[in-house]
Parts: sequence; structure tokens; C-alpha cells
Amino acid sequence: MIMIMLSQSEFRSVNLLLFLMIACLPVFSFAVGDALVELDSVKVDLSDKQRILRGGQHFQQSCLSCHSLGDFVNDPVAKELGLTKQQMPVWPEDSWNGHPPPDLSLIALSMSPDWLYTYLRTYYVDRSRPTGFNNLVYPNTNMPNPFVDMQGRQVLINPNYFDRHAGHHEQFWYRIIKLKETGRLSPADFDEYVDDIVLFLTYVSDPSIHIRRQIGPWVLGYLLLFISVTYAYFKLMGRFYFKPPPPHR
Amino acid sequence: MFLFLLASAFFLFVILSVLPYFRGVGVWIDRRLPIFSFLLEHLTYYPAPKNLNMWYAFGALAMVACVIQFISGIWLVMYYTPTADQAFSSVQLIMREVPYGWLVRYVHSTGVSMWFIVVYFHIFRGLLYGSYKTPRELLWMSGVVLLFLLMAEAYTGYVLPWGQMSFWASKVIISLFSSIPVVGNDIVVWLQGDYEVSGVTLHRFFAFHVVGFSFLILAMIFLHIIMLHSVGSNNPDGIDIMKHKDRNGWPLDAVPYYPYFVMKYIPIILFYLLVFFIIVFYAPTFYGLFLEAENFERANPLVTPLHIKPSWYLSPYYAILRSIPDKSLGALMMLLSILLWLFLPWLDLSPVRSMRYRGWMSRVALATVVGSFVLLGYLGLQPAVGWYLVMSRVATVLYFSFFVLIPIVSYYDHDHVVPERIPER
Amino acid sequence: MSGNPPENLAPVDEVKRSLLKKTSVFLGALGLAGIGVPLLSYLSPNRSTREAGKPISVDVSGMKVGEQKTVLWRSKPVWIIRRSEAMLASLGLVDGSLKDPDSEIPQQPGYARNEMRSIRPDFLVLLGICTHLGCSPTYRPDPKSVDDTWVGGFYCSCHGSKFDLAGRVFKNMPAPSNLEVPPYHFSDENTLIIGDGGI
Repeated sequence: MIMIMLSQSEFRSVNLLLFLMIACLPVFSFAVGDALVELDSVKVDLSDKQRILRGGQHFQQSCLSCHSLGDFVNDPVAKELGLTKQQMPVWPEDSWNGHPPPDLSLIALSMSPDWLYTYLRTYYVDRSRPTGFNNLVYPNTNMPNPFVDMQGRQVLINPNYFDRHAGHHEQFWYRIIKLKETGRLSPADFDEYVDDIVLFLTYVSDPSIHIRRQIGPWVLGYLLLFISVTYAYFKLMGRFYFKPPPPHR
Repeated sequence: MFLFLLASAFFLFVILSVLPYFRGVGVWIDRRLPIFSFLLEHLTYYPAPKNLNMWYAFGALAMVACVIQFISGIWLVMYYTPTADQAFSSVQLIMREVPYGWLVRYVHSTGVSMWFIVVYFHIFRGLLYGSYKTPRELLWMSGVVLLFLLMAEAYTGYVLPWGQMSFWASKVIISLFSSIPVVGNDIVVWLQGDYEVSGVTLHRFFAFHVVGFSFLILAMIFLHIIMLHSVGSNNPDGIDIMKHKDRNGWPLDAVPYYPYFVMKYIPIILFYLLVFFIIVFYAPTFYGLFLEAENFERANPLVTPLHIKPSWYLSPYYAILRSIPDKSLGALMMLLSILLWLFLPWLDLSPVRSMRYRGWMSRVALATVVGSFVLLGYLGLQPAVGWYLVMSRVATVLYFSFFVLIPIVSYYDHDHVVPERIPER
Repeated sequence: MSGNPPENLAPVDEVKRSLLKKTSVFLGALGLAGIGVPLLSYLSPNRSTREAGKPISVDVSGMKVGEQKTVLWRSKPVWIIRRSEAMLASLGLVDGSLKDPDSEIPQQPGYARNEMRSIRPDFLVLLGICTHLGCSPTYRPDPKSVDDTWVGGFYCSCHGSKFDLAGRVFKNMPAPSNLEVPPYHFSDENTLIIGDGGI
């Protein structure tokens, strides 16, 4: 596109411009916190509305007893799920030793879908924690493992792992922990269950996504058309406009 | 919806088409309020050098960015509540419940980054073609002031959503004032209006963002354009077009701004909007650069985020601040990194404006300062440890070396001969 | 590239030029309209406001004859009055002195356009806002309580407008029309739904 808009003499500066644009391109950095493992990547397909609703039902089953979605209550999807303000827990500031379960309306934006997906699946048995579980993505998390009955129990493959690998960043979490007792769901079903919840939370964090994708192509198409028409007009008429203004101005 | 759009577009189209028939009304008004002759003078018959290229579109784009921010800003204020317990949720109200609130908010949040991109390219163009040199010293200085005001505006606006980054960034920046000797700590309390950054601070930032700095920016842009139009535009060859005029006093190398340049820049402005809306519709957070992940968490004075990062457009200055292992000196150097630009017209001793006719030494100097600025921008977003810290110190030294080197370099450089008239290409 | 006089240039295709120009202007107008849509929609009530403006249900089982109950619907006062036989009888007496006795001005839903201006004769539902300048009139059911000919009704103390017990305005009053009847229906014997006219 840029190339079409250029006359010969401008190539030089625009090459430089392009170079600078590339040089300024974003440095992809996510807030990973102090995870001990690399995050799994999860494909978030927000066009799958049935799946979002399914994730919402899973959320109601597994999360809603502790976590609220305060900003989400008036959303059509919340209506469809029957989510109401009354169902949502309200925690006093000083409950849970000063760490009440947070509202999750924006969690997929403040953390990332990948983070959530990996975090929810990397609990392992740790007797030293009050909840009996620890986590690889969010070490010493206060949240009890919500999926013990579904996932089963994961344990450290090597019980002395952390004594030997202090500060080590492991690429694959399943090299550190393994499933010891199977839960109600098979590992594949459990991954999908968590995936659904993550998809739902991603939608919750910014429900404008659907309307954005609906309007987006129209706006961009309009702009492309407008660019081509005005550029064609400039190409047609530009050469006539080098005349000085009338002297009597 | 679509029909409504078409109908109103057609209505506007008809109005625009019949406007020329009301020329008499225009003349009547113009006799009493010379607004049309003013526009004719400054938009239509402004003598623009005929070789202005794409780089000169960034000035117009900066105006477009300004208008976008003002309109979306006015609309945001209709729902935004500047109190500590309401601010965060009022932004969510806009995002979720207000019709098209998400669009207005994303346009405003994308708009600031796009404005800075445009402004940085605009400044780079000034450096490239020597637009700061005589007689445009004041024009250049007003631009530096504008950059400063824009940073103040962006910073006060950044605090308003009252997320974690808003809170901690405002705390970090305000603490800079504590490095002022003797009265520093009192100034911090005075700025905050509280013993800690709080809702009181938020409320005054709101006032400055919405009415204070924004109107100063408008006024300064107005002056900037007045100054530009009284000395005339520079051009890629850095040639003074006012030396050769025809019998009517029209510069021989100039073209009326309208229609040629207006029509040339309209597709470019639309292309800017295309990029703008690709971001708004498909990547509004722009991978955490335009809207930081940490800022989607409500401000909590008890928990500091792991890495406090500035917005990308302020990160070069932040990198300078962090690279200097002394608080007061760091704050001073950060301030100088912008203020020194004010003196550039007098630091550059070369008689030649444009890089097209400057020798290799000047080019290297320019590349050094631009390169180190971009590098600092990258490093400011990374944690200040290990190699990052070493590199940011090197980049800081390179950045400031420009101001020391440029008088020497520009004095001894082997510049080419600048032609009298703009050459045909 | 310098100031060539236009006659040296090849002639331009005028049809193409005019077409491109008109298309540009039209697309520009379309763009302005497109900017207008979100900016104007933004001003309309948001989702929470619309949520709060939903129909409300009122339990009227405990209301005594002659009692007035005021509820808020969309931040506006709505009166529910349980009229006695005597009150209903008074409506017929004043027809001659009313401005719009047959409720011809559409200040009520179709189902309330009758003599009593209500679905059920005993329950009157009115928007308690004077049609003159928006004051809230007072309920004065007792005859002769406002002036000697008063048979009971509503009196607006702001500018002296008088209405009968069906909310119909008297002649020569500042108020131009009868009090408005909001949409409502009874979901059962004792439950009134305000804001929704039912089926």
C-alpha cells in the first residue's frame, strides 16, 4: 500500500521511515511474574459462542463460589448464563488473611490467557502449604486447588527438585510434575475444561471483541476505498496544481 | 443502521454540493469576520515549497491526532469519575455498558500512542532537514515546549484509569520532585495534596489533564502554526525559497498549499487512520504496549507490581533516569535530555540545513542520537539489571554526547554546496 | 515540476475527474456520518441505566380505598390511587369544565383511553408530573379542599393547574394536557407491573 502511494523521489526517505517503524516494533513482553515454568500457549477462539457459554457454566460450577465478575453482570452473555450480582460472593477486605479472592472481570487482560491456562493446570501436592497444594506458575499461591476432584493430584517427579534447581526456569512444566491420582476427568477432558474457562474469562475481560470484529472490516474497507479514490484523484489532478495563485488575491 | 448511514451521508453530500451556491453569504460574513480570507491565506495560498515530501505529512497528522484526542476525550469525561473508588469502575462502565464506549475509550488510548509516534517522526524530520536553524529557532523551541506539554498531558491522563500502573507510575514520577534539595519532600506533599498519592492527587491530575495541559497544548499549537506561517516552511533541500520570487512576490519554488499538498496529504491521513483503526479493532492493547496488562488491575497502595514500566513513549527518559546511580543527578539528566534540545539551533554551527548537503560527520551524529534514543526506549521497558543496565548507560552517554559533539562536528564537517534553487528531480 | 503553465499539459478526462471528485465528497460525507453514529449513540442511556429503567412490579394488595401510593419508575414519581365509588362518580360531574374530557390527546396507552383513564376502574395509575412545567402536583381527594367547586383531584401548587381524579386537566389552566398514564398492566389480582403494557 505504501509503495503505491509514493513517487520515485520519495523512496529514499520512506525506506528509512519503514526501517524506523520496524525498529520501533513492539518488544513482545508479557507480565509473566515469577513463574518457574514456561507458559503453555492456548488458542483462544472468541468466535465460538457455544464454547464461551460452556466456559461460563464451568465457571459457575468451579469458580463462582469464591470469585465475582462484578463488571460483567449486565452483559447479554451473563444474562444468558443466568449470572446475577446476587450469586456473586462479597469478601470483606480482611478475609482470607487479607487476601480475599479477587474479582475476575479483567483477569485475562491483567494476566494473560496463557498464564491462566497454565496456572490452573500446574497445581501439585505440597504438604508445607496450608491448602496442601503449591503451584508452578504462581508459587505459594493462596488459592486452594479448585480442581482436585476433576484433575486428580499432581506430584513432583523428583521430590528434591527445588533443592537442586533453585532459580531454574523450566521449559515444560510436565518435566517437573506428573499426575499421580487420576480425577473424574481424563487429562484431555480436563485440559478442555480449563480451556473453556479461560476462553470465557477472555471474553469477560473485553466483551467488545465481537462487535469490534463485526464493525472492523467495514471501517477498514471504507478507508481502503477512500484512500484509493482520493489517491486516484490526486494522481489525475496533481500535476495541474503547480500554478501560483492569482496576483489579486 | 446501514440505511441510516447512507441517508445521512447523502444528506451531507447534498449540503456540501450546494455550498458553492451560497458564496454571497460567505462574502457577507467575510466582510465582517474575515474567517474565510484567513483560511484562504493560511490553508489555500500558503506558499509551500514544491518539494515537500512524506515527512512533512507528520505535522498535519499531529493535528489530526490532536483532534481525535480532544473529541474522544470530551466523550470519555461524560462517564469518567475522577475519584479513587470510582475511577477504575467508571472506565469499565464505559468499556462495557455505554453504547460504543469501548470504541471511544480505545480510540483515546490508541490515540495517545499514535500521537507520540507521529510527533517523534515530526521531530526527526526537523532534525533531518535542519528545520530548527535560523530563522526557525523559536518555531523549534515552541515544538520542544509542545513535546513537554504533550508528555505532561499523557502522564496525567495515564494516571486517570487508576490501575496499578497508573498509581505506581504517578508515585514514581512525583517522587522525582523529592530530589530537589531542602524543600523536595514538602513539594511532593504539596503536589499530591496528601501524604501519599491518593484520590486527591487523582482529582487534580484530572483537572490538569482535561482543562489545564490540554488547553495549553491548543494554545501552543496555535502559536506553533503562527510562527511557521510567518517564517515559512523549510524543505527537504533546506533551501530558502524566499530568495527568488516572481513579479507578484510569489516564491518561484513554491506551490499553493491547497489544492496540491492538501490532496497529496489526504490519502496519507486516511492511511494513518487505517493503521489507527487496525489497532483499535484488532489489537487495542497492542501487546501490552498501548495498554499495559498491569493497569487492568485496580490501584492497590499495598502491592507494588513486579516491574514498574513507563508507557513506551516516556521510556527513553525513564531509561536515562535509571541508568544514573544518583537520584538527583538522574532526575536532572532526565530533565536535561529534553531541555537541551531547546539550544540545538545554537549548538549546530553548520550553515547548511538539510542532511542532503551535510557531510558524513553530521549524519553520524544524527544517527547516534536517534539510535541511542530508540535503544533507550527499548531498554526503559526492560528490567534495569545486568546487560540491560550496562547498555542503557552506554546509550545515555551516546545520547548526551550528541550535544557535546554537534558544535564540533558541524563546524569541521565537509558540507556540500547547497544549490540556489530547488533542483528538479 | 516547476510552474508549468497548464496548457502544456495533456488534457484531463473530465468524466473521470468529476466521478472521482463526487465519490470523494460522498465518501467524506459517509465518513462524517460514520463518526456521528458512535458519538451520538454514546449519549443514549447506557446498559445499567436501561437495566434500571426496566418495568417494576408493585404489590397493591394492602392499599385502602382512597389511598395514594407513590413509586419511582425511571426516576419519575408514579402514583397508584385506589379510587372509591364516590370518587369515580365525581368524574362524570366535571366533564363540562374539562379541556380534554375524552382523552383525545394521546397522553395514555390505548387500553387506558376510557372514561376512568385506567384498566381497572378502582386503580388509577398516573405519572405524577404536571404537563405544564414538570412540577409534581399534590393529591387532594377531599371535595372543597382547594376551592368551592372542587370535587377532588390533583392540584399543582407551582402554577395552579387543576386535574380531576382521572388526571384530566380543567379548562383555562396553564397545563396543556391531561396527566400522562404510563404503560402498565396487572400480572395478577394484586400485582401491578409499571413500565410494560402487557400483551
